Amino acid sequence: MKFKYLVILIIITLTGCSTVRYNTEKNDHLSDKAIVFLEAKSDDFSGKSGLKIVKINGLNLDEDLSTSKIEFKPDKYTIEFSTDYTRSFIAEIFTMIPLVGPALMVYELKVLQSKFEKNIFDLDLKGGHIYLVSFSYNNDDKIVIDIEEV
Amino acid sequence: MLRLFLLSIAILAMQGCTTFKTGGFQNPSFDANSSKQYALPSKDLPVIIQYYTNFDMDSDTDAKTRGSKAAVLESISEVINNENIKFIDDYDILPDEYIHIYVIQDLPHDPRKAYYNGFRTVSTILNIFSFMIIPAVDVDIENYVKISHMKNDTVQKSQIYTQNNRRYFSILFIPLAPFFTVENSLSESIQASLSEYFKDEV
Repeated sequence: MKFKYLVILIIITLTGCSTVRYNTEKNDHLSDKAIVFLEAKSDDFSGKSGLKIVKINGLNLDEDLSTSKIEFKPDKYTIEFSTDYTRSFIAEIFTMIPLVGPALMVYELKVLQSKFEKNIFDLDLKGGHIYLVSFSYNNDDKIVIDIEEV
Repeated sequence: MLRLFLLSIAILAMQGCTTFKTGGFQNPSFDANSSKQYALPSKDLPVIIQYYTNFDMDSDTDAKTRGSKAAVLESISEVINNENIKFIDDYDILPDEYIHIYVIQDLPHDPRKAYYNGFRTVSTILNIFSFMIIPAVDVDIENYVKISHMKNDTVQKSQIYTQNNRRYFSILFIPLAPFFTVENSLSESIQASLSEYFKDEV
């Protein structure tokens, strides 16, 4: 019986839990939704760092939104971004090793606490348009977000 | 013992790497200028390419990114026989008139909810029965291709095309990728988009 619950738990875990739809429906036509893509950069050893949306129109999100793609109904939104970090499988093993593990955690903390040059944007998202959100670091090591409308 | 061996082989076979389509080809139009009266641009015009992927886009060392960029260039060159097909970074000054092709590849790098939960569960069960020794990954990949005819900084005609693919593979087999790969699916989407854009060409 325990094995059955273990199988269910693994299935739920691997199936994924984040949603790509903020306020759209599954069958909405491309022209009735605005698609926002969020960039992530990988580090083969430690993991991947990227962006996530934490607030929309000043409200904290109830559900777990995707960190790679989100669909919105066309409208005006105030969107707040934050950093996102996922540890790689290899790094997960290394965290158990003395000295390496703590060093890795310090690095992760630094990535997660990186400051933004600007992280709140007023966006007029139009239907059928794609918004490409990229990020880079400036000379002061601050994250600079670039949003391109396609 | 023989049964166990055959079962292992069967699981390996089912976890082979392949990509297959799950969605239709969409080409919604958004432009007022996209009437049938519009004269299509000549394929002799310079072609400017832009490429975006939501995972490791700027990585020049990543084989996948380099492979995708090569696939983009190659597939466009197969449809448009023109020597002036370059990525935007290769242009110092943009020409007055050109064809702009923006290729966007959506590679999910987070655990998204599955569109067809049942299908994803099948791969998960396979993972469990192979005790994660040969972990399978099952992701949706969407390709978006926007083709615009630009003249004097204004859009003459713009069209966006999208195609959904599903990538299902065994992690151990990624370097082999013997069947329909991510690059194959990208090439097919680009070529289908260009054919659709130029279908009324005389």
